[in-house]
Parts: sequence; structure tokens; C-alpha cells
Amino acid sequence: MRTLLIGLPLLALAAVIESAVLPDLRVLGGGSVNVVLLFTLGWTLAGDWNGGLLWGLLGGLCLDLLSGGPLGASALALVLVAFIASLAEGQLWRSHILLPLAATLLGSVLYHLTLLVILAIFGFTFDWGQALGGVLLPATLLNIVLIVPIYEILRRLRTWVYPVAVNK
Amino acid sequence: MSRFQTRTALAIGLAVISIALLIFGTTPALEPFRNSVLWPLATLQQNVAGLWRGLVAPFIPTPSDATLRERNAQLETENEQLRAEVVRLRENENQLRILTGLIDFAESQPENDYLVANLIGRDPSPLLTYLIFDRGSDDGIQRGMPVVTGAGLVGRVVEVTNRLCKVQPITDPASAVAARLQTSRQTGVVVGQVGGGLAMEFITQRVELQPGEIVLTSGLGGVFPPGIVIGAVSAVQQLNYEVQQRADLTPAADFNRIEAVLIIINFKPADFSPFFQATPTPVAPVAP
Repeated sequence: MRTLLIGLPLLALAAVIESAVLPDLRVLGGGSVNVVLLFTLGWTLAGDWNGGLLWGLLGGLCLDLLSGGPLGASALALVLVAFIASLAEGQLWRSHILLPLAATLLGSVLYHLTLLVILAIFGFTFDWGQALGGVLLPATLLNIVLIVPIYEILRRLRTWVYPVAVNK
Repeated sequence: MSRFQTRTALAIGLAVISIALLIFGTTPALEPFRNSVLWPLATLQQNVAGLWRGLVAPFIPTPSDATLRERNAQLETENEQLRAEVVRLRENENQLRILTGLIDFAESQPENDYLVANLIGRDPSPLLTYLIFDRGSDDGIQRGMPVVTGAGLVGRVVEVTNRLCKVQPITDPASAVAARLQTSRQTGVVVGQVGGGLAMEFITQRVELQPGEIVLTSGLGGVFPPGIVIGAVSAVQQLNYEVQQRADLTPAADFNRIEAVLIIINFKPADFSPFFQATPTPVAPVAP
């Protein structure tokens, strides 16, 4: 319940920022930071493995409601990303410093590819070269740069929210 | 059940919900749900957009003197209006001859009614180009209404909630607008390009296209009213072995600087669906 209470306003704000602010800050032909994706990944890797899945669904729905794309597309992509990230639970390398970076690299690619496939299935037209080179690539690079501070903030937030269960 | 199995089950459940939304997300039964969820999001978006504009305003490169800046903005607006006026007058001159026979029909058409709408967001996905404005069904906005600026056509409303509407710009790759060249009166179709450009296709080879020629909506298809400026020809792609030629256009409206638009609220898109319904086969008379 605490996961949802914290996640809902954070993810709604992140989705609104992606819609109202980040389009003005796109770089390298169209890529921008996927804040909702980073929040979902950060919260999952901070140790709330099940909560990360819920954040993926909620954050994705917020993005979908503000988008002209099909409702559920971002939600499905983010749930998939959160589930893949949650596979780190119980692994020895779970605390490795490179895990958030590797998860963001993989998660960003998976997120964009899933979205592209869903949009293609629903008949949306786009240039795959531009989508991969002009959107996926710069977005992935920006996401990798920003996951470190976001992960650190969310890890501390999770420690504050779940002081006992944080290291299980 | 192990923690991994629990989580896998949760992930499958959430994925099923997402897929169900993908399949049934556009059904009218979900409209009240979408509206109620969008209301707080829209309020938040309006506040964040206003805050962001206030923050970036000092960093927009403009003359340092406030009076000069204001004067410059006034002159730009006036220039834009005058250019649109010149185009309109030229169009009126051409249309006068054609419209003489249609004058009764033209007089029966009411003047356009406009509603001003402010841009409060763009599509979060860089792959899509939809624009989000702060007017919805509560203000009388309906799907299909054309959207314009003082410079020219912007697009049409494709989705409406009670407080917001989403507009598909003409530069969207999925957009197609029936168009007419102002000088030769030849028709074609203006389609959006990946990257935000415009191209006019299906122009007959007989037309000698010149860069700078104005392109207007033709009104064919009933999706847009006729005579709205779409843009100007910037380059011509004519190949002798092609049946038709193609032209790249510069949009009249500056899509990167849109802040407010006019929605034509009294225009009803034509519904051609009855023409495409199957004609019932006549029943043969039965012999007595």
C-alpha cells in the first residue's frame, strides 16, 4: 500500500514532466529521458521487486493517458522491463555498482522496442531508422547517465519507507 | 509458492491488464474512467506547463530591452497576419470566378466560429506528434474539428475528454489532407513526413510547379473546410517516367512555436459511410 501511495504521485508527476517539459529538451534528433522508466527501474532495483511491477503499470498508464498512442502500450512495456529487472533478486551480483547501469541499458532498449512493436501492430507509421537511431539511442544514453542519481534517491526513499525489510 | 512464482504471477496478471487495455481501451464504456483519471493529470499538467514556461521564458533569446522585445513581437504578429491576408486576397481573386455559380451555396454557409485553445503538452513519445490543448467536450469540442493558427492549418481534433483534446498535426506521418495548388487549381494530397515536414503527392505532371506556390485545403473529402493555407512549395520532385509529381512543402504554421490555436467549432466533417454500405440485392419477383 505504501508503495502505491508513494508511487502514484511520483509517477504522475514524472509522466506530466515527460509530456510538458522534456519535449523542449530533446537531443540528437528526438531522444529524451524516460523518467517513468527510470523511476520504475530504480524502485525495482532498490529492492521492492513486486512494487516495481505495480510502478510499471501505474507509470505506463499515466504515460498512455497523456499520449495519442494506444492505452496500455507503455504499461505493458514497463511491466515487462520491471519484471526483467526483478530477476536480479537473490543474485550475488545484486548489489554490484554496475547493475543499475546494465539494467537501464537493457531496460531502455526493451522498453522502446516493445513500444515500437505495439505501435506498429496498431498501424502507426514511423521510420525505424529514425526511431532506433534518433530516439532509442540518445534516450538510452541519457537514461544511463541519470539512473545513478535516481537510483540513489529511490534507494534512500525505500530505506525510509521500509526501514526493516530493505535488505532482505 | 515461492517469491519468484508469486512475482511471475503478478507480472502475468499486470501484463494481461495492459493487453486488455490495449484491446478494449478505445471502447466508449471506458470513457468515464479515462475522464475521471485524466482530470487530476490534466490539472497537474496545466500547472507544470505554466511553471515550465515561466522558468524558460527568461532564457529565450530575445532583444535585451523589454520595449524592443514587445515591439518585435507585435511586428511579427502583424507581419504574419498581413502575409495571411495577402494569401487570402489572392485566393479570393481566384475563387471569385469559380464561386459565382456557387454563390447561393456559399451564402448559405455560416461563418466559422472559433474557440481559442492553449497548448499544454505534446505527446510524451518522441515517435508520435500529437498536441494536447486545454479545451475539451465541456467547451463544445468534438472529434474531427479543424485546428488553425493565424498562419495556417495545424491539424484536427482526434480525441476529446471533458477538459482536454488531442490534435493530430498535419505533419504527423499518418495525416493526409486533400489540398489544392493556389495558382493552377490542381489537387493533390498533403501528407506528413517523419521528422515534421510536409509533402504534396498525386500532382499531375501537366502542372509546372514553382517553389513558393501556396497550397490550400481543397475541402475534398469533407474533413477540412476549403481555402485554409497549408504551406508553400519548397522543392519539386518531378521524374519524367512517373505518372505524377511530388512537392516538398514548408508548413505555414510554425509547429515548434505553437502556444495557442483556434479550433473551428462549427465545422462538421462529412460522413461518407452511407455511400460505402452494401447495396441490398433486389429480390426477383416470384411467379404466380
